[in-house]
Amino acid sequence: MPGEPLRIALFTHDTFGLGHVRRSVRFLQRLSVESPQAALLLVSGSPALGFLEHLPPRTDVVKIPTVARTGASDNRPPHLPLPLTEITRIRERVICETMLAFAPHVLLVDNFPLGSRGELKRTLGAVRQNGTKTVLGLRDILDASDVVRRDWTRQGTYEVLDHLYDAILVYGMQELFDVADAYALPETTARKLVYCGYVTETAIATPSGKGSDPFLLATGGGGGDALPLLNAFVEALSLLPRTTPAILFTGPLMGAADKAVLHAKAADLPNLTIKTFDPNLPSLFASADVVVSMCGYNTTAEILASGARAVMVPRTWRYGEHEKGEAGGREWEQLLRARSLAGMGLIDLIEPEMLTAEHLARRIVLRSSAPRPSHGVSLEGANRVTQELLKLAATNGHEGRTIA
Amino acid sequence: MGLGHMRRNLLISEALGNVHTPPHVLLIAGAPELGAFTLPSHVDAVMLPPFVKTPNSGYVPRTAFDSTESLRSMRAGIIRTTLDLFLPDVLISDKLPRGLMGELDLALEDLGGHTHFVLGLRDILDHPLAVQRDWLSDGNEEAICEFYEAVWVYGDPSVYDPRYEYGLSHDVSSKLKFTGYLDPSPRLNGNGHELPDDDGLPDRFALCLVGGGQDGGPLALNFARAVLDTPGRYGFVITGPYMPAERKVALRSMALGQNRLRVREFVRHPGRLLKRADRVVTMCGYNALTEAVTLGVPVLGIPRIKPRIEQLIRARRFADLGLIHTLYPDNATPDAIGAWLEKDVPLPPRADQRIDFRGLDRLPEFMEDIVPGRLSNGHKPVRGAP
Repeated sequence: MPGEPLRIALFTHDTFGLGHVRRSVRFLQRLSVESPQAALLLVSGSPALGFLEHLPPRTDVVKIPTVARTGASDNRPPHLPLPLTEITRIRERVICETMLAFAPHVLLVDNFPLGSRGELKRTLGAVRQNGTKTVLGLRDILDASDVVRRDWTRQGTYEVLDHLYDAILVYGMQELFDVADAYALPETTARKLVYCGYVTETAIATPSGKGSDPFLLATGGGGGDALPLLNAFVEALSLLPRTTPAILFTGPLMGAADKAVLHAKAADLPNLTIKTFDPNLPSLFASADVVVSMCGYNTTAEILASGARAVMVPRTWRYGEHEKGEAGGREWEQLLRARSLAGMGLIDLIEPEMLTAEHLARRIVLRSSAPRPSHGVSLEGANRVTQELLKLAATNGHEGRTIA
Repeated sequence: MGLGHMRRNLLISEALGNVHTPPHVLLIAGAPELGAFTLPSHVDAVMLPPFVKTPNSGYVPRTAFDSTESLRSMRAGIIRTTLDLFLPDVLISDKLPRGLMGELDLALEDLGGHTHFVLGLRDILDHPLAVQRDWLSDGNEEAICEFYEAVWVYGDPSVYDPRYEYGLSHDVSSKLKFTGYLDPSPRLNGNGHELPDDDGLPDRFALCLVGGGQDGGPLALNFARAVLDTPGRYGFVITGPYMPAERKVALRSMALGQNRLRVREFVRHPGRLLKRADRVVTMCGYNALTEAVTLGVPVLGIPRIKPRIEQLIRARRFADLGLIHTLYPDNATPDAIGAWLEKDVPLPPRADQRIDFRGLDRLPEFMEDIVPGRLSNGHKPVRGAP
C-alpha cells in the first residue's frame, strides 16, 4: 500500500542464551536506521528479554509464555509449571493473534522454522494468505548434519521450508558451512538461500598503537554453561606466572553456585579479576593478549571481528547440562564451527575432551606469541539481512491488514 | 503501564507463592521493561505493547502500532485468548476493572462463572474529584459491582481510606479490604549481582530515586548539583529507564571525572542501595516511598504534582505521620536539597509502628478467602487485617 509505513515482525525462539535475543536486537537497530519510519515488532518467549539493550524507536515487544527450561541449575528460566502442550497452545494462539493484528509486510523467524513444537505453522499459513513475506534466518551452523536432517524429516520441516517460506537468510558463509549441502536441501529450497555473513558488532574500537600491558581474558559468553571452561582457565592461571593480569567474565546468566566455585578457586590468584559482564567486551578482546572462550555464535563473531588471538574450547554438552557432561546428550554446533575456523587458521582449537589446565596453559602461552589472525570472514550479516528484509518488503503485494 | 505497577504486581505474584505449593501465576502486562525484572520460578508473563497516556487523557500506542484501535483490539484478543486457555481460578486486575479501554470485557464475560475476579488498588489513586471523573466512570463502577468479588487496597485506612475519601458506593465499599502496604524490604535476598562488593561506594551517601524517570529529570539534576556543591558529600542517582536522553546525558557528564556522584539508569532491586544510603531523596511513588520509610533513614520526599496529585497526597500523609520530610517540587532547588542533606536530621520513628506494612504477608490469607482450600496450606496465618 503506497504511503503506508512498513511493518516488520521478528519471531525469536526462547532458548536461554543471550544469542538469539541479541541478534534480534541488532536487526531491529539496523532496520530502524535503514528505514526510520518502519514499525517493528519482536515476539519472543525468551527469559533473556530482560537483558535487552535499548530497543530502537517504533519497536514493540510481545512476550509470550516461556517454554525454555534449561539453564544453570540455580538459574533456570521462570516458566509456568504447566504441561508443555498447554503452554504451546497459548503461545500458538497469541503468536497468531499478534501477527494477524500487526499484519507485517515481512516476518523474520529466527533459527527454528516452526518455533517450538510446530507452534508457528498456523501463523505462517495465515499471514502468507494476507500477503506477508515470510523469511527464515538460520544461524551458520545448527548442529551436526545428520542430527538436523533427522529432526527436520521427523518434524516435516522440509515441507515447511518449501511451502511456507519465501527466503532463507543464513547468518554465515557458504565457504565455512554449506547449508544446502549439509542439510540436503532440495533444489527448490536451496534456491531460497542467501548467505549474509556473520551478524556482529563491526565497529569495534581497536587498541591504540602503544597498547596496554599484556593481559589474558576469558569469557563465558552468556555464562549459563561456562563453568567447565572457566574453571580450567582459573586452574591454568595457577600454572602460569602470577605477573600477567587476567580478567574473567562469567556472563550474566551464570548461576551463583558456579560463580562461587570460581571465586573460591581464584582466592590465591592476585592477578585475576572476575567480572560478570562488560558491554565493551569486543574491544577488550581486541586489546587482550589471548582470549579464551567457548565457540558460541556471538562470541565467535565478536572474536573474529576484533582480530583477537583466541584459544577456543567448544561446548558439546547440552546447554545447561554441564553437570551431566556429555551423558546429557551432545551438541555439535560449536565444535563444527570451531573446526572450520581452526581449519582456516583463525583460531586455536582445543577439542573438548582434551581440555585440561596444563593443556590450556600451554596453548595460551603458545598463542600469545602467534601473529594476530587476519581473516576473510564476512561480518556484514546485520546489514545484509536488513537489506534482504527491506527488499522483500518492497516486493510484497500486501493487501492490507485483516484483523481476526 | 509504569515501572511501579509492574514492581508491585511482581511482588504480589511472589508473595502468593509463599505457600507450601505455590500457585501458577501468569502476569499479563503492558510494560516492555517487564523483562528487566527477575521473575520467581512459579511466575511467567505475557507482555504486550504498551499504551501511553495523552495529555487529554486518551491513550495512544507508544511505538510500532499505527492506531489506538489496532493495538487495543490486538491486546484485547491476546488477553482473551490467554485467559481462555489459562483459565485462572482468580484474576487480580490492577486498578482498572475493565482494563484499558475495555480490553478486559471479553475476558470478563468468558471467564465469569469460573474465575473469581479481584480488583487491586494502590493506597491512593488521585484527587477524589479526578477519581470520580476518571476511575468511577466508563462503566468501571458497574463492572466492579457485576463481576468483582473483592477490592483489595494495598494500603492502610489510617493513612488514606478510599471509601471515605472517594465517597465509594456501599456496593463497592462492602467488597473492599485493606491488605496493608506491600513492603518489599524484608524480601531482599542475596541474588542481585549488579553491585559487587567492590563497587567503591562510600559508607555514607545520599540516594536519589525518581521512579521510571519520565518526569524525574529536574529533581535528579537538582540533587546532583546539591551533591556536587557540598564538599565531602557523595550521591547516587538512579535515573529510571524513561528519563529523557538529554537529561541522562547531562547527569552523566556531571558525574564524569569525579567520584562523588554516580549515575545508574536502572537497578533491579533498589532496596539493596536504599539499605546502604544514609539519606534518601525521592519522588513519592508507592514503591519507592514504602520501601524508603521502612529503612529508618531520613527521607526527603518530593512528590510529582501532575498530571495527578496522588504522590502529593501520599507525601502529605506520610509527612503528617512524621515519617518523611517533604519539599514542594518548585521549592526543591539544589540549595534547598543541599541544605536538607547538610541538616542534622534526627532518625525518623519506626514506620511500622505507624503504618501497617504487612500486606505481602497477608496476601496468601486473602487469597484463601477468595478460593477456600485451593491454595495448599503451609503459609503462616497472620493476625488480623487492619
